[in-house]
Amino acid sequence: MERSSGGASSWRPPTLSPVKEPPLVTGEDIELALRAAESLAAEADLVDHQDDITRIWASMATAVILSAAALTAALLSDHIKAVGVRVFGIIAVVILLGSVAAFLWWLARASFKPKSSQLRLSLAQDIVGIVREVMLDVAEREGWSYLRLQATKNRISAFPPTATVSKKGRGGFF
Amino acid sequence: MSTWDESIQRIMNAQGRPNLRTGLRWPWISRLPVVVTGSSGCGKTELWRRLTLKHAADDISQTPDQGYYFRRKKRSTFALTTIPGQLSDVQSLLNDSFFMNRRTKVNGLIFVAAYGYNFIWPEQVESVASILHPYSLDSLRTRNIREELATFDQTCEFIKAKWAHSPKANRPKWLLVLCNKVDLYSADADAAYGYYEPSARSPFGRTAGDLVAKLAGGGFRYHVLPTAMQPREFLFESTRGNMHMKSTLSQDQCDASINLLVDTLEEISGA
Repeated sequence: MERSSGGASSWRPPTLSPVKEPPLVTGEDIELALRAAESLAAEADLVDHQDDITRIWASMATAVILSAAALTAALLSDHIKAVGVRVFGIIAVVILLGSVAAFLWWLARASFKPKSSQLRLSLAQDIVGIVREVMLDVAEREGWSYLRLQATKNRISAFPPTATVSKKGRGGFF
Repeated sequence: MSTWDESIQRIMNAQGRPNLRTGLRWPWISRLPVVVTGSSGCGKTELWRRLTLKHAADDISQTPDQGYYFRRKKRSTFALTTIPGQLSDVQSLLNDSFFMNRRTKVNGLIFVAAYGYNFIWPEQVESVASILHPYSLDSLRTRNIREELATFDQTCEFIKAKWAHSPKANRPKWLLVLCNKVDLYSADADAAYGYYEPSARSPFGRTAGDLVAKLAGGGFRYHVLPTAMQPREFLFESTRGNMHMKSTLSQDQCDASINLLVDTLEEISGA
């Protein structure tokens, strides 16, 4: 690595004093944070929805392949002698096993891979966790109306509690 | 039921140990649903664990019919369910289930208060620290009391709504306010009582007084009790500095408070 041959630099790392009194959170900050969280949660839902559709297509494809194989074997059994039936039977079984194996492999890979929807939901949850802690303080300081306070509370209530998300994803009960 | 002074005396003298029992809830043992509520970090789940003798995760205590307190003298149990203090979908669903559904029975409620010593989850410490001006224990307690009051206001509104639209058998008949974590403010215990009792001029007392005035005619009972689940120091550590408060009670004294709570539960529920 080439070094400058010049004399000692006068540059020194800046001395950063810790911020003793951070700027106060405002209602606008809360609105922006909630919008970001809601946007992330909506994206997470969309990704989940797309995953569901992919699963449905995969299931339908497997069903179609199996049906086609079974139908072919059944049709050929009427016209061709036992050897042909056996050949197509074997083909049907191979297709059956192959498609089932591929589907299971795909499912296993999908279940072990960290889902981007979970990441998005986790980020949204982190944002809401912060908003939840400061919201009442800001509301009191800025004199929020009843409507604004309740609407913000309801928006926060759409998210799962912080503790359950970190442990087991979108937390269910009942 | 013990008065406040008698309760404090029993705790200080470490009188009695909790005689709790566990077992199966057979179909012939009646089940009285009891809701445990309070703001985040006040000790609801710890209370649920002490009364049910279970060491389950937080979300188990939020599931109805997962934990029972077996009553001493009667052939009945309290089915305890905690409602999380955090504004969340789980809180909304449980509130709807218990208070907005007229067919759901609620025998009584336990509101857990911490007189400002709510535990702040590590993930939220920096957020909470950022709104403390000045950065002091008093500011933190004021912030926690504000959260607690908002939860209590909401709880009282739900109780009133339940009384308004549910049949008599399904209405909550009592509200027990626990001044929890009294080991952290035992010297100020009387001041805490002065804040939580329904005739107090505090914001909490006014809300409680309003509720009692409205429902007392129907036999609704309100009682305030000091409790401490276990002696534990209060800690709040953020990048802006650390705050702490030492526990001043022993384990025996905390056990005595659980015993006191059990006695009170037996008496306040009546049925």
